[in-house]
Amino acid sequence: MSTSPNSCGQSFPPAIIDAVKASVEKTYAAFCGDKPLLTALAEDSHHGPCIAGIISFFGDVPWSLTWVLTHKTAPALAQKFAGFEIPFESSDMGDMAGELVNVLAGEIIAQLDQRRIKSQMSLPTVARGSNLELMPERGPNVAELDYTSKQGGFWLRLAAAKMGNVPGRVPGK
Amino acid sequence: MSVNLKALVIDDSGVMRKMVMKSLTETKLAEFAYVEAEDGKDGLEKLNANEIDIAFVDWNMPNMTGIDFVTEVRKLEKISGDGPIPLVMVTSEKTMGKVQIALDEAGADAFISKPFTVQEMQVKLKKVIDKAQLVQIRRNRLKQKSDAPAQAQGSGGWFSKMFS
Repeated sequence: MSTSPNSCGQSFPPAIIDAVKASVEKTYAAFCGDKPLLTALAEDSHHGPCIAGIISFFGDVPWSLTWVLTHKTAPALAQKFAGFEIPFESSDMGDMAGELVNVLAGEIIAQLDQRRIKSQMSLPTVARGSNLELMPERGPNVAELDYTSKQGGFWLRLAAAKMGNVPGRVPGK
Repeated sequence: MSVNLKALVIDDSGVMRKMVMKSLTETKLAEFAYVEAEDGKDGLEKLNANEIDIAFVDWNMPNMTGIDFVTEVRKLEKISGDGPIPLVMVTSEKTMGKVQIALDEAGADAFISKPFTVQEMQVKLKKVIDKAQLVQIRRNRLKQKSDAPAQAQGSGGWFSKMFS
């Protein structure tokens, strides 16, 4: 079984990567009781049915975050987060993926605020599919964080965006 | 637990509405009946159409945000002279700046950050539930005093006169 190393984009702002790492640990611990482990996931864990919550940040630094959960991880995490069972194939799972990334984004904004980076979040969107491949939005300015946890593996993709050109729906619009 | 309250739960996520309602029920602070709304605009309509005792509002939603909903409700209450109903923000926002905007500027009564626990809700909502009960008692008294023709107009919500 081969593994894919974590790739932290060299030009992606380190302060944001640090904020994301801290937020993942804090948010995950809040509803799972333990911290996930930043590691290299088995390459085959990136294949198969997945669901992804996607959210954009605008403010001092525009960028977007995608949180990808495998079909095994998503229901286990949903059970912990919601307190009730949500089947992977259900429409509620889409809702859950959006809510999870929304909650994570709230913590990221708080962490960035501590680092004097002002941000606001877009409304989340959700993608579901098999062998989900996330294309870099603009050039190589992308970082990826792979995690394992008791609930299963997941990964996050951070992608920088051009100022004033952030994808995602603005709240209230 | 003898208090019966009608709670409006506003969130664009159906799963989150379920989570809020499940947690509120588990607090045992009151016997809740729920009305659900998908965004601030929907929330205003449901508030007008129902006798709501307390509302739980998400911040980031399409069409009308939770903070705009709270601001609008407080504005309408000032015009109508109706007593303020308790409004609780339930949101993933958690910076001090956002808490201040919600509580000090918009006029929310409490702020609960997602993810939340039942225990956290019990602590933060105790006073707000008491306030909701007082609002309900006051409204019931006003209702008893009101004359029959006004009731016959068929409007259920205490916001009705704002929209008639």
